Amino acid sequence: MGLMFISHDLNLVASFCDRVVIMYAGRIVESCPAAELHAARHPYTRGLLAALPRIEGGGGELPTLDRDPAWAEG
Amino acid sequence: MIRVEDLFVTFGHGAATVHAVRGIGFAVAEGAAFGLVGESGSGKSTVLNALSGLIDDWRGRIEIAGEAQGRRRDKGFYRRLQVVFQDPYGSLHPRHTVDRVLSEPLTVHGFADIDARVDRVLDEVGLGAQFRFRFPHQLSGGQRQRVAIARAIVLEPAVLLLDEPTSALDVSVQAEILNLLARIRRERGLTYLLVSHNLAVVAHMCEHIAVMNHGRIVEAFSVARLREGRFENAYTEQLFRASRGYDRAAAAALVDYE
Repeated sequence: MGLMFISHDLNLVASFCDRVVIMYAGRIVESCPAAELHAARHPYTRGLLAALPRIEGGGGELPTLDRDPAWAEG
Repeated sequence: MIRVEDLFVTFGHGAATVHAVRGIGFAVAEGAAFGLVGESGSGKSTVLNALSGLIDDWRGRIEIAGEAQGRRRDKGFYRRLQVVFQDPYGSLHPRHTVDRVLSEPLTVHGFADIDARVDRVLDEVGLGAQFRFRFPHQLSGGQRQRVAIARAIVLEPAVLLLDEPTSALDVSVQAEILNLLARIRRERGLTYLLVSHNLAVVAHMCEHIAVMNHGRIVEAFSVARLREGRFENAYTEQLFRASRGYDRAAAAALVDYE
């Protein structure tokens, strides 16, 4: 059975799915095998990964996204 | 600032009785952030509801700022303790403007210079006065949660109870809201009790953490011990592993620790 799983839980998607498609402003900006999500290249995906708090993290300010208008133009 | 002893909460009667909270205790010092984690149904939100007076069918002892609390709370209690709920779509009245959401508690509690306070709190949560006359449906999820936080802090409380404040938001907005909550706590010296099923969020925000399962606290530890991943309780171990992501073998091997 095929499964399409829509989520903003990056860890869950990376571990549960086979392939991941990252959408931004109505467009697919990147697609990769789920196991390689941590090495994603698009700045939007990189920004999402960086914004995740981590158990081992220091508790300082979390990086937030600076949305580049160019991302929406594909 | 918060002290809970032997807290029990039950719902229903007779054969249908649900023991949601079964004799828990913890203390949160003034200015500290305490995390309560556990899976859905573990009783963690019920603890917040008992603390905030939303449910009255509890037994035990609840102290806020040194005062033992009864079933009913007076007006002053709600000036000192406020709650931010999980769902910013459900916690704001759909037909009230941001202005009304923020002005009403100020009027109820007899504050002066309401106009200036509303503008100031909108600035503090990063929205600004241009959001003042909008309705909730004209805001994004993150903006609505900022309004919910503004509503909570506009009364200048000493304690904030945060019930999964970012689990309805995507990770980039979550980061913005967590940064905002951390800054407000720092600037105002607030005491936080944060309920979450996300260990990383709790590790990021809190100095002390308690793990709940089936209505009991099974283990409590400092954030340093959470970061090292050293636990004494088998359920905590399992919760920690599950938070790492999905693992078919681990999911098949999940145990229900009664």
